Amino acid sequence: MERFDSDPMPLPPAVREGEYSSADLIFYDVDHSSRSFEALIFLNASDVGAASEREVEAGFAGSFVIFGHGGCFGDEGHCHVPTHHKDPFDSRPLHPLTAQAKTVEVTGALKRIGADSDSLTVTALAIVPGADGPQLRDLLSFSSMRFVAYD
Amino acid sequence: MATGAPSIQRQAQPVRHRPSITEMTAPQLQELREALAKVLALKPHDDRSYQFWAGIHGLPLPMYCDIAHGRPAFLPWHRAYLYRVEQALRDTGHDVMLPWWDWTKVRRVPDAYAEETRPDGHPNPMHSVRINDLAIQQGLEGRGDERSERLAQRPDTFREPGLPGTHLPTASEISRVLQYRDFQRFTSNLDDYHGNVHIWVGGHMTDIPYAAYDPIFWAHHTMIDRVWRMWQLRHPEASFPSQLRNMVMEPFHLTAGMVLDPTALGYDYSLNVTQVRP
Repeated sequence: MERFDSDPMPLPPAVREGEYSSADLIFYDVDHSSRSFEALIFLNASDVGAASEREVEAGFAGSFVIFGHGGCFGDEGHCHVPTHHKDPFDSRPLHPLTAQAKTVEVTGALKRIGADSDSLTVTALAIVPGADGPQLRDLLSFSSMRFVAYD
Repeated sequence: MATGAPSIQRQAQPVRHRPSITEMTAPQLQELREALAKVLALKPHDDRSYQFWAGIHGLPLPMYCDIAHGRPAFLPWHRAYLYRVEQALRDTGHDVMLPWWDWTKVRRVPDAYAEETRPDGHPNPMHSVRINDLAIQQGLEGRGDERSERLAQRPDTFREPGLPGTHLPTASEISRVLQYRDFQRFTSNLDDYHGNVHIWVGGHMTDIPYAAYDPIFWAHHTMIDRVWRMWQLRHPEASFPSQLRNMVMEPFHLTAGMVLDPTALGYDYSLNVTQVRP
């Protein structure tokens, strides 16, 4: 996945009426096993691209960064994250490549939308720098995304 | 009867100060470079060497920093790391402290790191260093993408600062992060901005396996540690996750709780340090 466009998510009435103090987008199980990248997050701005401005007016909500593991350097299975039930007596830390959760505060971009829309569409672009300009790369991988507003 | 034996939790008197890289005097920079040159000259497997300490972050395996990035231990693990590296530099006999690079103000690679040669004409060890042969070997044998292979083919660290698509955190962004009262939210946001700087510097700094070999790594992370210190002073009431407090920051023989107070480790931050000897 190099670009993610969510289905429209209905906005609760309280959010449309501005009855919140802040809001987050939480991305679950983000893969960080490969190279580094920045994921730019836009709200209700489906026409954005790698060179879009990081301005709230353009729908830019924020970003998260993956400082990448850079590949696998051990032998076969070294970078395989176990999915089986963990032994309750196993006190070792999580496997290093256990996926991460990333939170992006989107309050400013949400306030721009205001009452103009009753739904929220999220666009995430995985960007890597390049000599010829920012490039979209096949790096972004996550299991789910959640929108949370706080009173 | 209490003997007053020193412990890591006892505040050192007086603490030393980590300076801004742009405020260091020429003699101070010279001393830092001499200390760096000494640890660089040691054999890679010598546990006092630059290669040894840089390798702890990434290659050669194991990659100890994996418990830190994208996780709550991000700040205490790197504080312990900086502390041990600083001790290794001071063990050379030079009175040096790690400097910080305030990338919110200095929007370029600082001159001390950008200059290829020192004023005396010798190579500047803060510009580029040779990467551990074993790390290069593991990188070449690994299953990375084309970028990892490209990095592994360059035995001397290099940078590509400010490529299009990169972003250097601004003062207003860091100011906003400092307003968060919750440690985990503060950490998560600062971790992301930290990643922005790694990507902005480019070259070996961009990915975990070789990032710590680039000497600018230490100035960047010292800035991150400084921002954490500023946050701690601004939010003395903020709680620290209890489950993290006793977590061991491997391989530094320090728990997260032991590194919470920089002054207990004998250091703090200042803009510059001027010392006069009689």
